[in-house]
Amino acid sequence: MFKNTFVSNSVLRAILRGALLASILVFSLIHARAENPKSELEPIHWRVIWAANSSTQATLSWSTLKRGETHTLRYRVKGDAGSASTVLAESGRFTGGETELYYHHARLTELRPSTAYEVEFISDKVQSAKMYFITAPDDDRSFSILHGGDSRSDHDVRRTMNRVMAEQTATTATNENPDDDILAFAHGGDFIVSGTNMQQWSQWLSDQELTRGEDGRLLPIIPTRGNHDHGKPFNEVFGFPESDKNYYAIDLSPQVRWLTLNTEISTGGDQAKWLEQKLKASRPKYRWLLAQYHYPIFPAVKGIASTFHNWAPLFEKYNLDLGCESDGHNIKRTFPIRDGKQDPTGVVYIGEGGLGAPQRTPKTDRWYLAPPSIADKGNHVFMLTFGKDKLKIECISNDSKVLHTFELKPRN
Amino acid sequence: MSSGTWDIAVRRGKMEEQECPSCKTCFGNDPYNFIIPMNRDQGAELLSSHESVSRSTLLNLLRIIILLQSIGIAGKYLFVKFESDSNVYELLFFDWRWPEPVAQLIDDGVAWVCLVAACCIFTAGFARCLPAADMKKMLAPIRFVEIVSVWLIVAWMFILALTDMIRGGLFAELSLGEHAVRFCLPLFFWMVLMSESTPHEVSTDQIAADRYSNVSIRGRRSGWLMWGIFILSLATAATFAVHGHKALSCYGHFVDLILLSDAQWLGVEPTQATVERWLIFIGIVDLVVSGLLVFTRWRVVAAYMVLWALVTAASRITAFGFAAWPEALIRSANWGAPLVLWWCFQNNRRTNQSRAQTGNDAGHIVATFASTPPLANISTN
Repeated sequence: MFKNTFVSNSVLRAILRGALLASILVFSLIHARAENPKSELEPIHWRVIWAANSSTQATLSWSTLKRGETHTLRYRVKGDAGSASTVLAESGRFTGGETELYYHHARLTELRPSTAYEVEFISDKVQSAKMYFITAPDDDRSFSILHGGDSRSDHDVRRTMNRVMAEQTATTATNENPDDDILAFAHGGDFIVSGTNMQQWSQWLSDQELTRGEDGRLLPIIPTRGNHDHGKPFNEVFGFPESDKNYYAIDLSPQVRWLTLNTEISTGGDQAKWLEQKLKASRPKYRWLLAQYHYPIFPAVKGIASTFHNWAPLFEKYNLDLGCESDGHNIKRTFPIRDGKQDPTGVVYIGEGGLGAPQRTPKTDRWYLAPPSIADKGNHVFMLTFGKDKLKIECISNDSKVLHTFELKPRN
Repeated sequence: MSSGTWDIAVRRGKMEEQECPSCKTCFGNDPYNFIIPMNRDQGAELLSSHESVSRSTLLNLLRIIILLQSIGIAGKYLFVKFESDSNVYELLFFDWRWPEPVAQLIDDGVAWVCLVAACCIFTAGFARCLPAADMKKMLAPIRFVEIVSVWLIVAWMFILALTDMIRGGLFAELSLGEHAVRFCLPLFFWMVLMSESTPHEVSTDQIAADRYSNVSIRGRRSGWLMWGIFILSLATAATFAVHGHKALSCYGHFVDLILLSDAQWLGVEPTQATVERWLIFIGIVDLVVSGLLVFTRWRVVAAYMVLWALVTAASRITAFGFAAWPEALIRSANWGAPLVLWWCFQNNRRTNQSRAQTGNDAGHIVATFASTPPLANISTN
């Protein structure tokens, strides 16, 4: 009897131990994510940032869990048999809470336009997988970019939207139409809920890895600062200088000028002067002139802000083609607006952010949302295809369906 | 009571026959405030010259400010063409994932409730003008409505500030301090009410007498008032200090307010660098006056705060046009709170002066306040 009890207790303990181990294993598998690094110096959070001349320059960034000593980027033209070049990264620790995470920014210049570059992120002796990105063209070819904002909440939807973007990028790259290849992703701001929380940034950066294609293609980001992105980490994540004001202009091609503005600082003053200079200089040279910024000028749900007074008159004066907005958490496309009314020569505004944030019902009683304007809700990203005779804008849902499509004609 | 002081019955008899010489509409009550050691001449002077501001006048001032603030809230979230939703809506819908219609209903509903509550508080002021005999019956329900209404407003203003802080954003961590006057001013209204006698303590005679009662003089319930002044001072100082901090940080929105106001009205066309230098000066002044308000209680400081808060509230309209009227009204407590404090400081100064002239103990009020928080001592500069 005693022996039997002893045996049965042993068996029971073994079963319990096994069950415990199995539980831990299952739990680990469930919670293990692709982004979890194998080593504390494994390069993670790889990203390409465009904040200057995108045909010849790019900032390639990554993170590590430990400081390490030497962080370099190895790169060469994809398919080139020659030896790779190496560039040393600027490194530092992210500010924002107790999360220990280190950023590394390698700045590439003198790149060739419309060229795929193969890259490897190396921290000490730990190398990432080989990936690649494609520089912007320096000729007047057609291409697409993605625009969306407000990825700050709903982790699962954010990851879904990132997969949609990767899928769209792959589809446009492999389909028969060479004019719709997606070059980059312009983010309209509100990446996370609290801009000073590095844990949230780390989560966003991990999710952002999902925009990488299966073939290892990295989609360059053109970032905008949103109201939730306050604090130091934003500049650290995207490789801007510490006191940078985050408004800048880049050429996506010789015919496409993309202005990124910052609604979280004074929208008048220096920024408005800079904006006027850029618009004045750009309008005669570029077929397509666009601006992205976070807080909407013609909001579908929120109130009117200083951007309405400081920027809308400039947009109208210099005939901006498209204003890309975020923050409202809905889908919006206005009819062309000039002098506070519908005008075929006016400026069209799209966006309001659907990369993860819960979507809300737009206030369709606002005059600029009356038909033929569009006001809708649903997680989405816009795909802008720049052609010689039209700018095609598609609103793509989180299940890859095209919700809305419309076109703009060149002004010139 | 010592020889030479008024007998309370005598005073009541006088009060019933006497109208307030300066303020025909003031109302309020606290008979116990009349039980103070003073001789007939002192009391007569105090009442007839209207040197002391009545509690009821203070309540009326608070009623007006609370109403303006609530109209501003309702305007922003309900009435204007580009009405928006509060942080409470965003917290419920975005963060807590409540259904959108429910979040919207709560957000709009409470804005309506606050507006109605503010109207009730405002109307109660008129109700208190009823003849004394009627007031005896009405005082309890009026007081109940006032207290419930004001707590609704206090709670909602506090929740708005709290959700602003919770939801994040630039300077969000300072939201409770920045918006402190918005919930502390109605809280002060409640504390003034609490410094009154309760309805069962009040007789018809006392109601009539209360219409001339003094907010500053010593009474059984004066602790409520002193704590109220103390809290309101801190709230006003906090609001100014946070705005001072934001100005020192050259907060972009403040830069835009100045630049847009200038573009619309002045045409000076300062550069952003110049405006930022102004903001640094403004920020320093804001921080200095908030400190002075708490530690000195100079009337001139409160007066400056009233004027500056009026300017900054009005700047929403001068910068963005009349459509921004709710933003200006929401900030009514920014100038209202220092105005109330100025009123109280002024009132105490006059009372003390009056006592000094009549040979009574000029330090009486100070001695009374010393039993409450140390900072509640009121200077009589």
